[in-house]
Amino acid sequence: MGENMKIIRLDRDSPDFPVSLLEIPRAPKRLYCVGDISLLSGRCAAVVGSRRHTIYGKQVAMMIGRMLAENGITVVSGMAKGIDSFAHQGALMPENGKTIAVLGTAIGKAYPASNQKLMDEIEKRGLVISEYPPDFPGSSYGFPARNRIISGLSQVTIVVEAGLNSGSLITAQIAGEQGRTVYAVPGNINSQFSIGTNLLIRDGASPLVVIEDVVREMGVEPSGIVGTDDESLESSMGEDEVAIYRLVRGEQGLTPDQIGSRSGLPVSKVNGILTVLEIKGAITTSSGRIFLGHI
Amino acid sequence: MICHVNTGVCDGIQGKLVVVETDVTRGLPNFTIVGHPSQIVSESKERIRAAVSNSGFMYPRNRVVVNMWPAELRKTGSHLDLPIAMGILGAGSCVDTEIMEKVGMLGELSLDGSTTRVDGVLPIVMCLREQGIRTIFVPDENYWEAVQGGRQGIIPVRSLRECFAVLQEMSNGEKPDICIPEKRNISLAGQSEKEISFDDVRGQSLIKRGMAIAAAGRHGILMVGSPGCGKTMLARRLRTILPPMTRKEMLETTMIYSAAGLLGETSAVTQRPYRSPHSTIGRAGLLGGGAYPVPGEISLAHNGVLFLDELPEFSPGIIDGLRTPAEDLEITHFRQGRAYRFPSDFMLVCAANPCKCGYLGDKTRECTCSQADIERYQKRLSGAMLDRIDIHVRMERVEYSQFSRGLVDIEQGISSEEMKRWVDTAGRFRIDAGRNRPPGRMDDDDLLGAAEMDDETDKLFHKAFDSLALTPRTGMKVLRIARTIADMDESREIRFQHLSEALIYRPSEVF
Repeated sequence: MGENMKIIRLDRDSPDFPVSLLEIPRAPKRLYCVGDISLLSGRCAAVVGSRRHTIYGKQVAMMIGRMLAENGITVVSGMAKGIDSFAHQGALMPENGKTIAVLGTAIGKAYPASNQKLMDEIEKRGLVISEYPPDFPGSSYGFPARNRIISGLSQVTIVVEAGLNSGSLITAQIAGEQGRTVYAVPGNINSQFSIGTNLLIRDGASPLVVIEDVVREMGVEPSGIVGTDDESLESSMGEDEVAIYRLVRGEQGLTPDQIGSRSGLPVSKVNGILTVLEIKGAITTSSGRIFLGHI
Repeated sequence: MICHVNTGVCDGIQGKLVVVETDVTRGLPNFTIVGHPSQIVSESKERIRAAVSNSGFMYPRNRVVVNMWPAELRKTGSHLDLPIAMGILGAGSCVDTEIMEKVGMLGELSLDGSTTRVDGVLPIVMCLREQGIRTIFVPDENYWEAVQGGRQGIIPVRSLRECFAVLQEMSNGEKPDICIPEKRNISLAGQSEKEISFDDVRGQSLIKRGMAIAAAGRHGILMVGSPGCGKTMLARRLRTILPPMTRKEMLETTMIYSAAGLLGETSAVTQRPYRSPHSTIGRAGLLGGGAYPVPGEISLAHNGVLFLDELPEFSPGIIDGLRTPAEDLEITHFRQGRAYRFPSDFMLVCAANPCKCGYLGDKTRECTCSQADIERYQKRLSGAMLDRIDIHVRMERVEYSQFSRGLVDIEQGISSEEMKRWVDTAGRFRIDAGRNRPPGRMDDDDLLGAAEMDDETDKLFHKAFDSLALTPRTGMKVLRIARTIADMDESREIRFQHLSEALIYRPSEVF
């Protein structure tokens, strides 16, 4: 926790205690908060997903987080590794983007520790809450239990990527029980990382196909353009760079070898172009595969 | 009468001169060997007694004392049989002792007096030569190994009797009658492979190019990929594109193999060695060691390739021990108050799976590891050793469709010839430019001195630090690789395309 941050305790009878949480079953008795507690009464949407993720999940989570934040919607998530963290990061991309992190562990301590930086940022610009006091030792029930707060705070819950046993499926289920709208981001039917979300869609969740839909559902007329203008990006590229960039746009997840044989360029040249494109931010690499770098 | 015979022993991988003094005096029949002999040498008494009598000589019925000096050096090896036996004959006035003092000899004797092959011949022969001894007797089975340092004065003998006869002829001023054994071409145990080359590998242009860069600049290389993507196959082929061994390199490596007793029937190491120790190997096995130090895998891979498959499975402490030898190109062991130096100029090739189960990021198989598993596994990889490896490549399995298509219309990718040409060009250009060390072996100052760039390239380098999260250390690695690529392109300065290509082989945390 940052030095100047203080923990605010909200009991159920406090005027600042969020109304949305009062109406859910097994509502928390009190909340410990660090940051801007006015966010609790604003428009909130939960963006959750599994820790293990693909580059697709990462891109989508950041895109949704950013889009919602740009439209003044607070992004609620669990600050776990993977999708949760990307949703927070996306929400913090616009200058005045707001986000709430709901911890399953003691307030004031980052879990996982590698998210310390992210938590500091959220405390400063958003809000971190937990139903557990600073001296809470941590336990395995803390994580599933905080899911009801994540979904309870939010009018809409969006599941980005979830495997078969992902905790975010619990969040989706609770959100349904709480009478909230559940969106799931569809994925390839042969991707193990999207089995959970695809099953949610089969079982009646709304497929998230256009992010603007969510924004409208929240009663906000969407504004702001997400994504980079391809044409302006391409105008800064040489001929071969454009050719390779278009290959990547056509099919994400190609290997440098595949790009080499499809473009007909020698490997030494392809290597150079790929790094130049990466430096320009047009592409990104993950596990030796090439993806679009912008969202 | 006292007789001096020159011989030697292997101390580490160095030959050391040993002089065997024999004295036969009156007294009760007795045979004593002094001068720090090992058990093997003490046991040789019985062999020598039998060999001498069975060769038709009279074994002295007197007191025989053999002393070997320098006394502080431990004498081990059955090759001392021949010098001791000849010493006894000399002390018994059967041979001209003046001649004996000018020659050197080594060899094991069997009970019938014939010589048998021994290990460590070449280091001893080289040492005797350095000591100014021109004529050296060796068992005929060791002849072709002994002549690796030059043919002059090496005399192959088949038995004690023949050794005696040649010495007689020499003392009579006659030209000795020497029978040179036939040369047999046997390749080193474990190294005999049918012709392999990178042409056997279809596609995989990225890693093939990376291998060529590694070979051209002597960079360490790390391949990360799912099981079955061809990491081992590629590692085995690396030495086929390295330049052929020079005479000096052959001699160095043969000396190590000879001292380690690994030459077997072979006479010399003529091909760059390829060593691939298993991940369960211990410290002494990899780095060398023991009470009387023997070379480890890193020294056996001297002038060749050391391949560590499944790098994260190796014990981190042992891998950490690779640092110094990889930097100094030799390793020093201290035993019994003395330093033993073993050369270790190897090219390091490592392979690793991307995660514990091996299928993280694989297109066809599911990874069953948890996020924590993955982090733990990759943490093992990102340790100190990775700092020593310049080139990092993520590999992909060749899909079956691509493979079967390859069988029909053969998408060869880069040919072995082309790779060899790149390596040769880079080596030639570097020497012409007056740089002795390849970029993979240059220290930072030398590298910076050889890394001129134009403005555009310099700008790219600076941008890369920000947008690709380079650190000073990884930046130096990229520069090293870029220098090699520029050498391959025969360019004095590092150009834009060299640096941008080098960046794709940079170490990255995410596999």
